[in-house]
Amino acid sequence: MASESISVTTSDDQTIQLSRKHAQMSQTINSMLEDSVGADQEAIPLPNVSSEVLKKVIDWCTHHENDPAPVEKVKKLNKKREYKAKNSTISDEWDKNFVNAELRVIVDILLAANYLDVKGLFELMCKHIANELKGKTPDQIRERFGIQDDLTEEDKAAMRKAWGATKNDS
Amino acid sequence: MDFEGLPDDLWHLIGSYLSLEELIIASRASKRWHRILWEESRRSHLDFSSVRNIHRQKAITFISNFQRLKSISFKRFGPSLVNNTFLLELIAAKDIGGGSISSHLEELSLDGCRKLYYPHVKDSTACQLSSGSLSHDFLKRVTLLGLSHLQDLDDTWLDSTLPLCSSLTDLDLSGTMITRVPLCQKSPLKKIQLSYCLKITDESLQSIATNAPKLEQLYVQGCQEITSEGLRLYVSQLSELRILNVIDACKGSVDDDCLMTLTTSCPLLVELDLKNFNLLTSRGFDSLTRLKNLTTLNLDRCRGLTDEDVENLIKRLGRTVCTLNLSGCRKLSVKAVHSLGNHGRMLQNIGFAGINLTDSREALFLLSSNCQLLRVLNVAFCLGLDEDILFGVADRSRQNLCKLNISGITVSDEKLKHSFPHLKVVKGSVIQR
Repeated sequence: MASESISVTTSDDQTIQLSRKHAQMSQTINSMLEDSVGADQEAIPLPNVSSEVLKKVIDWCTHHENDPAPVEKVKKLNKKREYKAKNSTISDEWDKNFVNAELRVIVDILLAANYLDVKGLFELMCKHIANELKGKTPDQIRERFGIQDDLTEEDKAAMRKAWGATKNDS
Repeated sequence: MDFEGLPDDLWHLIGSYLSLEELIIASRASKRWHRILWEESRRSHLDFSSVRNIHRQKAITFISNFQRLKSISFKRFGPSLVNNTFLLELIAAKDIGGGSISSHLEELSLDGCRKLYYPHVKDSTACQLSSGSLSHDFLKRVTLLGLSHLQDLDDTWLDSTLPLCSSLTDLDLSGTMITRVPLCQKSPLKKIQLSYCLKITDESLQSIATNAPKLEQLYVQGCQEITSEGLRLYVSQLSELRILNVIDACKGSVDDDCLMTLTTSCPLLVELDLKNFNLLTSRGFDSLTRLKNLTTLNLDRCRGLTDEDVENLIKRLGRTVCTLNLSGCRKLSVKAVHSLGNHGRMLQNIGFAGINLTDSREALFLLSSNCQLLRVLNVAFCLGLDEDILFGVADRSRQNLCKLNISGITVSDEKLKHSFPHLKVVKGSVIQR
């Protein structure tokens, strides 16, 4: 009989217990569990995730544990494919609050969600970062994301020439 | 970890949430971002539908920044940009790798671009368009062709172009004045839209049935020149058909025999839209029960429909049908509502407009408490319906309804919002307080 809680070891050598239900929301852990059916349950090493970030991930999983499983949407037969940008609206109030964190933390969670393969959380983080980019000028983006401006005036002029001035032009 | 440390492929995913314009701006932040979000962008599809005020030449320069572009859409771009000259320039242009833009193009959607015209073959532009610029290679590869509402599209151009499109799976010619559909032989076509092509006749149906036997979706809404006989003879050959839309078509002449043939020979239908077919009787409606996969059934103004027919249909199709439109079927009464309440557990969308619902309080309450998936309800101009019943329905449906048509009843805005918290669309007389 499989035990109801799983222990994992994080990058900072902490052992954390999480419920099987939450662990299975991560495809990565889920496949590790399936591989080791019957074997003695040792702590699963997660060398890419720190305990601080893992706690955040578990928070999210706890809030979303009763969400319907992310089924691939049944495509309407041969429906005309539209290549619009994906919708980045975050509808869940709890989620809105959750992403209200320092960008450094957001990046860590994004990477963890990617590594652990928690689909919903990963999408949420991508949406949030995309929303942070929206409506900003290149200058504002550099400031927000702490990026060095390594473009020369010629580069900028060339870009303007190629793609035309836009309304948010700096 | 900071943003510089994010791997490129994560940036590509984030980029997919940005519109073209937002992507351009973001890509100007630094060299790396420019490279990631732009030059190495894996975007192989461009959609100009939402881009406004861009100069023709700029658009081409812009497009030429992409290599290996597979699809471009100029849907409803309007009169400002897309015309023949533009299309010719576009197709002749080179991308930054020196290749031709059109060399990888598989999809070109030009729906509703009003300035695009196809003059007679004698005209030099058209010659170029049909033979030179839209190269044979391109036509062989193209899988989606959207040409709806092109007012000047004529048969000559189609005759010289369509037979070459041997990979085409999706063709939209809605609202054009073409008279025939010259498909190539053994066409892999899956979907064809011919709605409101007023000059289309049975001959086109025959051509489709012969050349595209794998067709899954056929839209001939409003095509008055096609006949019941045409449907019976040719559409019945399309055994793979999933969606058939014949709303307002055939001058209403579809009869029981026609419907019976269709339901026997197209057993895979999931969506069937009939409207204004007054000749249909119980015999025809009964044949619909053969369609075991049917999820959407539109019987709008099929006035022969009786309460018994509805009961029979919903008893045998209740496990699959989610959308059922019975609007304007005058013979129906409260009994029909009753049978839907008893057997229509999957119903999400019901249309009852114009039906006499006198004394229907109990039946409607039964319906709303049994059909827990119900999201859309159309009860416009139903006799015997009042505010009181409506709010009773709201209580029992756990307030899930999000779209409501209650034209003919006057309700206060405030009360409505209170009873239907998820309501997004409402039609009808609503008093603002």
